[in-house]
Amino acid sequence: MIPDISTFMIPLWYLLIPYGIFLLFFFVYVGFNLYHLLRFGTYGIGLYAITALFLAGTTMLVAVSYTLLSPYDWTASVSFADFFVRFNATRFFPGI
Amino acid sequence: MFHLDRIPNKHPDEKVVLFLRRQWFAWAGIVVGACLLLAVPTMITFYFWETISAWLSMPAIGPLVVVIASMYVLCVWLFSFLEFTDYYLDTWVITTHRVINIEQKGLFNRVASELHLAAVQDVTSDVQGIVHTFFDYGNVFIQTAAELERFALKDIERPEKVKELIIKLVDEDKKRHAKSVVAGVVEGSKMI
Repeated sequence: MIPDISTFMIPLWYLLIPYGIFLLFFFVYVGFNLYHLLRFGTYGIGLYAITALFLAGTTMLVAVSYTLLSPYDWTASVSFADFFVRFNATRFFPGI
Repeated sequence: MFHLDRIPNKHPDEKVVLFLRRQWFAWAGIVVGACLLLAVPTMITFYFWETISAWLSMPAIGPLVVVIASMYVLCVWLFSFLEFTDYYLDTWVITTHRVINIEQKGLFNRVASELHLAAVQDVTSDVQGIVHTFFDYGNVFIQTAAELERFALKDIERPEKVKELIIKLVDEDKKRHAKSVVAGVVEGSKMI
């Protein structure tokens, strides 16, 4: 008996799992980069400016990412039917 | 942190004469590359905005697109800054006694070497190409009698001037050594 996969519901927050793993590696590498800059960089205003720019840019990008992701209802579920079975070219490419 | 007034194994009368990094083209290339990697998807998004805004309003596709776009932008940012850090930590310090070469080869791979001016046999500067000539940057090679035979200062500004400076410092170092040898001989003869 083959199950009907079109009725499978996937919680939307499953998408956040790979994103969370990515963020974990991202912050680890941010830490590595900061460590190298502060440990081996040449003392001076330039070093502080670059470190501040890096931290500010990283914070801003993560904040923007959070802002773009927060409007979605991550507790909702979607089914394969919504995505695969009811594929509609007009719906996916309006204006064509 | 590396302090120029507190270099390792500093001689009492040693002074830092020049501190060098690669010419600014190195980091400009990183910035241009990052801008292109961000600008091209942005332009595509604006050009196909009707389609993409339809995707963003869908319950499954919208979050997926935003997650992928976030990961892409964060990756571009991170790798650009990793490359910049690699450039920023590559330095050469020329003092009155030695040349210190610090090379960062990616994360957790750092090579630091010193060359005492007394071991210098020959200094060569090398500027090749139209861009290098117009912007006056190139390489300086220091031939030595040491285990590491050739020291290379790559893509530095005004390589001719750096070469002349190193030759001048080598001469001064030789005179300093000659004086100390003579002073030692005189001291020794006094004791006898």
